[in-house]
Amino acid sequence: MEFIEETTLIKRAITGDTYAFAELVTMHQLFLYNLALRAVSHSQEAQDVTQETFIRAWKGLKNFRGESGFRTWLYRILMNLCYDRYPRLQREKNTISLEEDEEEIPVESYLEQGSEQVELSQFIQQELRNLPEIYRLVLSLRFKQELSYQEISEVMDMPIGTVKTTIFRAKAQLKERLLLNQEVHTWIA
Amino acid sequence: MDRINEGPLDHMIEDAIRCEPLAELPLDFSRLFLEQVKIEEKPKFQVLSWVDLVSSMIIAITIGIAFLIPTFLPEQFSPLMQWSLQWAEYWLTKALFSLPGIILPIGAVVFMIGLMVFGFKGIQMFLKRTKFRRDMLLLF
Repeated sequence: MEFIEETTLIKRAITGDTYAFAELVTMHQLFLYNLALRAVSHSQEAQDVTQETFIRAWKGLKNFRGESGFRTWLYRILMNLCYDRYPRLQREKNTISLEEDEEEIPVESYLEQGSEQVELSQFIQQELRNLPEIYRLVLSLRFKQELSYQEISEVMDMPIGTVKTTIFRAKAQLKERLLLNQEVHTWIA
Repeated sequence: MDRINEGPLDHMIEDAIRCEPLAELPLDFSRLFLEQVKIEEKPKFQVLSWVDLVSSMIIAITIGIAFLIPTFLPEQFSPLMQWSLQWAEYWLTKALFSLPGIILPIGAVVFMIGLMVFGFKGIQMFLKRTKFRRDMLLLF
């Protein structure tokens, strides 16, 4: 139902209907802004990038063929903008691509029973903020926005293999920190 | 096999990411750029209509004042005014038949237009590089 509605809005927006475009903005602005926040870590910059993304989307709406989802298309514009404005993101992405063939990081998936679920969840969310931007972005696209690997690959302009490796590495880092935190707590206790 | 979804820790991490609260949008987030989008949709004439209005008013007021000045001037200034006009007419007529008299005014007009165009472009470029550009560009 929502998909049909969005398609209609896109068609109307392509013909120059600004109200339809405003509807599309309302539908996607929250996720887009949050994605920008994960990429640039500063609210004013994230706001600026998101607004620029919507302006670019409006200007390039006639080129939207519908081959990928509208959301994916918007995310792609946002990421291209971020890569242009923040070259360190591009560098970070390239580094991951180069490291792709490296050996996987083994992390033991063991956690002591009895740990508070909410507490752990909060700890993970806190640790997420300390991850490199690319890791945060890919994790967010995969688990928060629930994009497929193919879609993430399109958005981030990365091969699917690199997307998978990035997710794996990001999770491995989180696991490592989680287990370290557990060890510290055990030692204190 | 998808190596990413493997253990309980993975599920815990995925759940934590899913439950991560979204940052709220700043106030008036979409208003400015949606206004810009709406302005861009309008024909150029409408965008500049207020500029046209202001400039025509300035020109009309200037011409009006120029015509009204002699009416409000004291009578003793009347000969001086006439002399000034005759003097200006004499020099204008003389200038029309000399090369510098033709080239210099044309050059001055071209220079003024160029100055205005570059000034306008300069302001636009400056505004594009500042954080307040959207607010200001809306005025242009």
